[in-house]
Amino acid sequence: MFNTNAAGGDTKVTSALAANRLGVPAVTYFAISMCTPFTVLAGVTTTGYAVTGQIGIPIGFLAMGVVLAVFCVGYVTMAPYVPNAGAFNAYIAKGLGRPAGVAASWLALASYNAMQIGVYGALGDAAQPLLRAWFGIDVAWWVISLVGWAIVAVLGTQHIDLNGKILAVLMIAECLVILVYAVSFLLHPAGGTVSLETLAPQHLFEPGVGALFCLAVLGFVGFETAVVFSEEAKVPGRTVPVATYLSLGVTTLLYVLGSWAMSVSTGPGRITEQAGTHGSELVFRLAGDQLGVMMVGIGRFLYVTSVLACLIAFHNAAARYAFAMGRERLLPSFFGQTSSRNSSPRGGSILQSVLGFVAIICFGVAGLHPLRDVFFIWTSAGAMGILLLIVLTSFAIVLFFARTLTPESAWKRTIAPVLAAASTLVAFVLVLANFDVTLGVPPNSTLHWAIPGGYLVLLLVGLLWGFRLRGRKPRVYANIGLGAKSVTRTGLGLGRPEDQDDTTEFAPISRY
Amino acid sequence: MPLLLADDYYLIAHDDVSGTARCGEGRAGLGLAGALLGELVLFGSIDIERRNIVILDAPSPGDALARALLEELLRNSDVTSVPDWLQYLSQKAQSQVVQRLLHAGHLRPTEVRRLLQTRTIYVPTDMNVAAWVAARLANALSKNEQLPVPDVVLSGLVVATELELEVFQHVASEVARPLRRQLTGLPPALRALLSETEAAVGDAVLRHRR
Repeated sequence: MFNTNAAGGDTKVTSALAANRLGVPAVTYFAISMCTPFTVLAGVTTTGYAVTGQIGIPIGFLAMGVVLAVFCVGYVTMAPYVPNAGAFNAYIAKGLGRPAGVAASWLALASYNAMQIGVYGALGDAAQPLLRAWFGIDVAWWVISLVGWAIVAVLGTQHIDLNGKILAVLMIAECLVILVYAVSFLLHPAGGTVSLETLAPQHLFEPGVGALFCLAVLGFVGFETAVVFSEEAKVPGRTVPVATYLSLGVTTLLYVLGSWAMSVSTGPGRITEQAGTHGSELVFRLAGDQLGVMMVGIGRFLYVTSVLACLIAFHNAAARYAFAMGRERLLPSFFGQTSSRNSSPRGGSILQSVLGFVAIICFGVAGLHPLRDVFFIWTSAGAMGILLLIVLTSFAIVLFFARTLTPESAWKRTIAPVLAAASTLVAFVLVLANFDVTLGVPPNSTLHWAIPGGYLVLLLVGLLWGFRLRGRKPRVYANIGLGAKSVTRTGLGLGRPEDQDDTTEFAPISRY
Repeated sequence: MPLLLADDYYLIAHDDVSGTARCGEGRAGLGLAGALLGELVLFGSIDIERRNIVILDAPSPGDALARALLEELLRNSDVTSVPDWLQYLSQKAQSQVVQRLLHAGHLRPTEVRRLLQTRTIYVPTDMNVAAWVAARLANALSKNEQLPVPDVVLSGLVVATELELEVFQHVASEVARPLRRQLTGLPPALRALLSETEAAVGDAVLRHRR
């Protein structure tokens, strides 16, 4: 009477499961769309040139791309051994101990939320000229940001795949427009010569290089998300690494090409001044002179959609960190709840939306500049936190492989992770030292030390909290870094039954 | 005659009057998948060891769907991982359990017109039967009575798929502690199954799955 294979004829379980698994293209799309390349080019690069006054941004992107590629060797190799791969704090809990994992959870939550708050500023800045051009109206940036906030708040409680296909189309369009713009910029060089000045490696040894690295990290954030699919990749051990390197390669290429072409078109000597005068409009001004109104319209539109996509991506990342923490009971269980209609993290989503709303209102009232004061400061702060997470993760990877015997090669287990730990640490120290340059503030400004100081306090409090959990709440402590596998709702844990000390024998199972 | 675990779970996860789902399809699917495997554990047909299904040498279960599922487990003995089976079964558990409930006369199909298409939804034939499942659990738990093992598993599935508020309503916070105690008292295989179901629901969120 019951044919269990009714749906698809004689389907085997293995092939049915395989059909649901993700291949390289899907994972790559996902990772690149998390990076939102056009936001990086129009928002981060132009503001970066203007605020830091550094012209080595293209070589900075290249250097950071290489460092992150080396980091990813250990990162993707360790992913199958991490219960909640895709979250830095899970790696850190596994490699550096659970108290460090708690500290890293706090750090991650703060960094991703800071990122998200900053990007709301970029939305206002991106949409203002578009509204002016299309409808001839001037709207305050924070009003636009609030509209964007409402869209993100609603979509955040929906499922991300709802808009996955749209995101993919927009992402491809973004990449194409970057290529068209870059080619055009290179065909119209200032003074008639294509200068390689901004790609010169000596910029990596100049004072203020930390600012370049901070910007570059800001651009690459999102590359870390592909490992979330390690358990459901089509070819385990291959799909996710390939997709990670591919997305990192494509984004590095786009960023280096885009930022270099921009400097060629203005001339390396004038790029910082031009960027200072025009802000994100610089890209569209250059494109307008060379390609005409049509291409500018397309670019402006894609800038807005790209920033929106970026907001959705960070919103979801922040909400998922909060969700995992709620499941582990590092945050109240409310944050570990799923929305009733679909599988989206409700508590984290609401938390993010509340923080974003308060921030936009405060910035609006204070009359801050959307790109310089909101976008740049907050996303730089977020990028610094994420770079710190990357450094801690790379040390966790080194320690994990030093203690655990796994079948991978020495390059993947030891050499690359050690190189990555050393290079990311150097990058972080430089970012820390040059954070005033990154933010464009004087060296004695409070912001220069307040942001790293805040992260330090957060880490220390998190660490203490972790040690306190070990003594006071051993069950919560045992779950740190497990994400959804912590199983705290039924309180049963996912360990072997022998690991659970509170087993009491009960009446035998009543056979039906 | 009491219903089987998956039937009970289906009725609990859907509105007793309108028959609409109380949670998203993905979550209900995982809950039903957990319930179907739970039936096999309760029938003594399978055991769960270290996140894998072990098929036991036991008399055939006295239910057609459970028998069919057991045969499918036997045919696909290359896949033993509980998360994999939950994932696989979650896709089709809904229609299978609906078939069983229809056959037993607990549901009837109703056509509803949506904007452009008509959809079939399944409405409980006797809303007292449907509502009784939830009331039975809430009642016993709020009096701190020991539930029979299948009902403990059912309550565990309710918690794992986050339906406490819908099922236990105003006594939800009150019954949390007694329920947790009864859950930890379950045999290892059933505890493992509930853990896996809860982890699968959470994983679906972290992995952007529906």
